[in-house]
Amino acid sequence: MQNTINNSMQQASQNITALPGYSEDVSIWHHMSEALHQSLYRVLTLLIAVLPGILAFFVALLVFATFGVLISWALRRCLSWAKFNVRIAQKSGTDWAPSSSPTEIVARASFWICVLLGLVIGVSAFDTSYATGAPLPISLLPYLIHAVGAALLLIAGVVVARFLARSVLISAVNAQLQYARILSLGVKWLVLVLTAAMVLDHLQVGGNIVELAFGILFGGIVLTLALAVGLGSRDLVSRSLESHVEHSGEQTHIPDEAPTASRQIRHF
Amino acid sequence: MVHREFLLCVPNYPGSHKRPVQPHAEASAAAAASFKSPRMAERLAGVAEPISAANQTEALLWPVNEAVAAGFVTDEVDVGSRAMPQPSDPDINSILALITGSLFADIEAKAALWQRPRRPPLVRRPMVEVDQSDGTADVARMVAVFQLANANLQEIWSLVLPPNSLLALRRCSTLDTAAFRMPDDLWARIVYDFLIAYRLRTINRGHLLGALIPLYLAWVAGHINVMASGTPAERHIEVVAAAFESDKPYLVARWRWPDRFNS
Repeated sequence: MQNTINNSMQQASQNITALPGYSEDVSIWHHMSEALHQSLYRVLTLLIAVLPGILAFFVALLVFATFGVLISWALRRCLSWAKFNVRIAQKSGTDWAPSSSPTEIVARASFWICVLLGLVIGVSAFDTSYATGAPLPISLLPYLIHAVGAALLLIAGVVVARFLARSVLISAVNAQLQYARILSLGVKWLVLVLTAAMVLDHLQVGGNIVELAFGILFGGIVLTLALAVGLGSRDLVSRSLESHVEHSGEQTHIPDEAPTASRQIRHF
Repeated sequence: MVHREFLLCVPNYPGSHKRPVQPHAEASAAAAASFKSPRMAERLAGVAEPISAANQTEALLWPVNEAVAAGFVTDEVDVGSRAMPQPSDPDINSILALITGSLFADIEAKAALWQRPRRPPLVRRPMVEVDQSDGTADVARMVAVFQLANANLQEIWSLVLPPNSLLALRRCSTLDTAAFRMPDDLWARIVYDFLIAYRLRTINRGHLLGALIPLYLAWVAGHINVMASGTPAERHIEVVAAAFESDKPYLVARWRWPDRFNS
């Protein structure tokens, strides 16, 4: 009886699979599920390969930050005991504010050096674990170094831009130039555009397009300024040259046989 | 440029002689040496040596401060008017920045001295007024510089001055040239705030001194207007000195506890 039931069920399944539409649907679904399983497996594998590196990065950063706190505390205590501020003040003849005293500067510098060291070691540990564990032979460390360099470049450019803008603003105001603020903004944006071009070039983003665009923009600005200065100071230059010629003419001895008719020197 | 020269004298030492002193390292040492006062000469020479060795050409006002710091008796005696030769490059901005920088640096170096309680000032002899040049032509230019700075340097001034000082400056900028005057207590407060910013290095020191120039020109414009109204110049200067003296506790408090005012 049971054999009869089994035989009838097998015959029924054979009859179903023998139908062409049904077999294609099952095979498509099977392939799709297999593909999804494989991709999920690859993602999980990659994640498992990267996680130790990320963990190592944070552990290194945390450990060195803790070292930095301890070292800065120890330095602060030692330098305060040795009266470092007083010695420096006596030597330099200046009085220091409490927040910017030499002891405080040394302590903060030591802390941030430790943090930076932890960052470097953490990135190298992450890069090592990532490169060995991942199937792709791509190293993240060089790009991270470029990114850090680009960030430093950006910070330096912003600082320089703000300093130059402030210098130009104060000088222009003291020189009673009505367009002082416009001049200051122009200088600031010139430096920022230069900085942005350098950062993009450092990150190797955009390629020749960035270089060409920056060259055209900067060259156009410089040409405009040169034309403005040249055309605007034309009268001033001619007056200065004429006064120079007159002055040199007074110093040289003109012979008596020179004609009495004066000759007007024209430079433009 | 007409000015009155002052003397350093050491009346307690026999044979002391009065000579004008020029604010220069070598000249002051030589002038002091011409005094019959070896103590003063040695003191000034000792102070001048590290200044010259460090090539600090911006140190100009230290002889008078050094005499006061050393406890020598100083007095001001009128020796008459004298026309000084003009500098080769009469750039008022660079001259003001140089003198202000020298003054601020010397104040910072002698902070331990001026924060002590002081003896009451000596009775000053009445001074002979010197004929001042007619500065009415410059007042309009000075006021214009101040108004331009008030429109453009608010961001920089706000890093140094408190809001009430900025508001007072905005009120001053609305005054016309003939009635322009900067209140004496406001000027004293501005100088003290800039001195604190110089010490704390709130902004670059060159920028700080440059931002002070329009404010100084505004005070000078007000001073000229005060003289034009009939008030003697020396009397107005005494009033300004009294304003500085009365506001000194503010300077001492901010010097000793700078973070308290920033919290």
